[in-house]
Amino acid sequence: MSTHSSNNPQANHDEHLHAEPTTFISKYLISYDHKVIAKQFLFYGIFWAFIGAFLSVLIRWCLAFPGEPFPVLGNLLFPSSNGIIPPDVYTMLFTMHGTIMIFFAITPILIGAFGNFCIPLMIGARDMIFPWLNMLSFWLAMVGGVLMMASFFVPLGASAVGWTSYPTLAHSQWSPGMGHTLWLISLFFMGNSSLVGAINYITTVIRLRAPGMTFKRLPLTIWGLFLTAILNALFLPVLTAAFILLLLDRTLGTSFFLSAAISDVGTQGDPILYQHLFWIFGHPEVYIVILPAWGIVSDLLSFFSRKPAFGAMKTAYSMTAITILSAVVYGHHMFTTGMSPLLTGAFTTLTLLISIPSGIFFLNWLGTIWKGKIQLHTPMLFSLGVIITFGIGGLTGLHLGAVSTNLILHNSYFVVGHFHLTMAVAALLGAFAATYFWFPKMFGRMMSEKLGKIHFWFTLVPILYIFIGQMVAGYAGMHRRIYNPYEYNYLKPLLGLNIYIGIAVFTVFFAQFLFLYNFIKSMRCGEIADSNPWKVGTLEWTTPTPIPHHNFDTIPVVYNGPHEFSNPKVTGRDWLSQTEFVEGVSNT
Amino acid sequence: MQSTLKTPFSHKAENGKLSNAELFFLVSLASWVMLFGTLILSFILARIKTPLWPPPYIESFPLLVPSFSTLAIGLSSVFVTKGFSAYKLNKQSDFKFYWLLAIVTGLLFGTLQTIALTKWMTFDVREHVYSSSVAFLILFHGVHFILGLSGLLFKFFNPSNIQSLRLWSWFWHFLGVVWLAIFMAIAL
Repeated sequence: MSTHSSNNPQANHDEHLHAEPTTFISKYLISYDHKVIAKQFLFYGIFWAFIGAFLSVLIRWCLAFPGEPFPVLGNLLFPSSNGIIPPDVYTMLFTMHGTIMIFFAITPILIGAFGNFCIPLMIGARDMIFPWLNMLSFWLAMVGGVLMMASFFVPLGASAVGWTSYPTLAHSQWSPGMGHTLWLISLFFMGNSSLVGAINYITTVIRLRAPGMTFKRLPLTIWGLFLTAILNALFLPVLTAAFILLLLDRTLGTSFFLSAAISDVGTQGDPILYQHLFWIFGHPEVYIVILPAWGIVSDLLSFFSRKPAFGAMKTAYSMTAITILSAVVYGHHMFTTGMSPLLTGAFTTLTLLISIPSGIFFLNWLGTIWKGKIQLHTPMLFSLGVIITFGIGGLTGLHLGAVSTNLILHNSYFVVGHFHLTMAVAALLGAFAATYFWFPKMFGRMMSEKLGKIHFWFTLVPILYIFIGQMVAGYAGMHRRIYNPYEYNYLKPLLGLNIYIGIAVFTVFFAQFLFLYNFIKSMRCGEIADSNPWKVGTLEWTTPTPIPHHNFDTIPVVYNGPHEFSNPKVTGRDWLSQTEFVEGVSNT
Repeated sequence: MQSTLKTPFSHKAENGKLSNAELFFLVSLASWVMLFGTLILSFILARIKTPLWPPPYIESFPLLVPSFSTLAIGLSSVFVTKGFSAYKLNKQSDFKFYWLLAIVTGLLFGTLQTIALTKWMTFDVREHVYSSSVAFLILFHGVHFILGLSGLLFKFFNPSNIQSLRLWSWFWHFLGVVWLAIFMAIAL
């Protein structure tokens, strides 16, 4: 596609010049403005993240102090058992923790909030290409959120079958009540919310890039979000299909996922089919969650090392390669289902192939910070945190990708530690980095650096302890999803480890209130931010703060890549905006 | 890269490029393909893994009437193409004629499907995954078919926007292809 073929580059953008909304409702509630929708998603995600985190505190309380009543809130939450968390509630806790954290916290924050905020601003557009769909995306998520919240209060409680919702446990005979049905319907809405958003993102990135913003000059954040959107658009329908069939099984009594051996209603369905469908979606889903964080971190490492991103295009291409590979490796989640040795071998090979592109961009990250003029601002600290957690998580993934070790470690706490470090914590730290980084642009004020740094250390250190500890526990044979592991003699010695992990979890949980305090306080009385506090060159920092409703007065023309730092031809400062034309550096 | 389109829903895509709405539709089409592809592949997998298909104690789905409905939806697609090219040449009466034929053959498809399904569904289709999945596939396609048919009807009375006319005709072709895939998965 030629960059300057068009005579009037403004044409496509000026259609997005809407009148600025004036009433409270049109401005903040049913807004078409991508910046407002981004904030809506951010608050939504933070709200759910705290609920999900609280559930994990309850889970760890069970494992650290089995049989003891939960302090303070215990009698309020579990009056029938004198504050002790009952076993059936425990299964509900880990189910809802996983579901909420993936679909209601990380996805809305990284994709909903920062996708919405960054894509139009960083590619130089006035808004998303379909603002109405954007609003629809948020309100579908809202419906999903209300349904999920409601499921806590129905008789027999919320879903308790694990976030994977495997049949036959997920059928109505084995998990009766409305809880799991509501869970399915809620995720149906969440899936469609992400799907609508993804289609919008893809079309926006293809169509609304400012003149000169070629894919090579696209910030890596946008690369990550774009690839995520592609995965979302392709694989969420697979999950939707599986959920429709499961919903029919639960409500109408069909037996798509019930085999003859255990069903008296229907015959010859196949529970393994659900696992195939779920993981065809589920494996891309972990990349859906982590790709935006990779993109953000790739950019931030360069911004705060004051160096061009090392091999930026190689990073982009390796992320693309991972996106493609992620579609064909899902079998490693199902090695223990009696898969044929030929298939396990194939899936092992494909899975281990992912380590090549992962290795490329990981080394690129290290290359970016190598000999950089590193500024340890809070966003940079969190980006470095992503390097550490993703590094450890990624390397332990090799043990789970290879079938021989997977069979031993399957369903153990090793898996829990691994996937939390890889896609949960790495994505969350990426989200924190993004929040601290874009907060000045979003709200016009700086977040407190001092509180941010305390928050970082009180988050990273316990988090590493928690999940490395869990991997140790898993290697020692501790299974996932057991209410009281100490009923088994061989797991009794792990009590001490679990107590320390529990304490670390409580520390992390309380550290997040520091973030919440910082977030809310800075919004109102933080230091006023100038329009480019971090001195970086991507397009969103060329706008004034607060950003006008139409983002850019004139659509900018892009001459440089996003990481033009410390260029010797630029005198007086170490950064160059993407819109500045400097002889010998920029080209048209 | 920047097209010279006047609005996001431009009436014509210039320089042979896709308009924004068409691009949007193609991306969503990828999602739809994955949705129906998943369901049809699940059906095929269940079929391969089950030794007796259809099981002897289940009445198998009759294929004669659906063969005619396949023909009907195929014809309907042809008429939609004819109507659309007539519209492009600004032949309003030809457009109305072919579009009406497309709607009539579409309705014929719907009727034949309903007849086939109701005549066959005299027993509890939940008895076996064969019968429940056949019924589900037909009904699930039917829901989208109703959406497509309402689109055609709407465009019959309000054909002013060629852009959305094109998108609805694409959706109609897609429904035809999906039905063909479902029919082959059941019949072959």
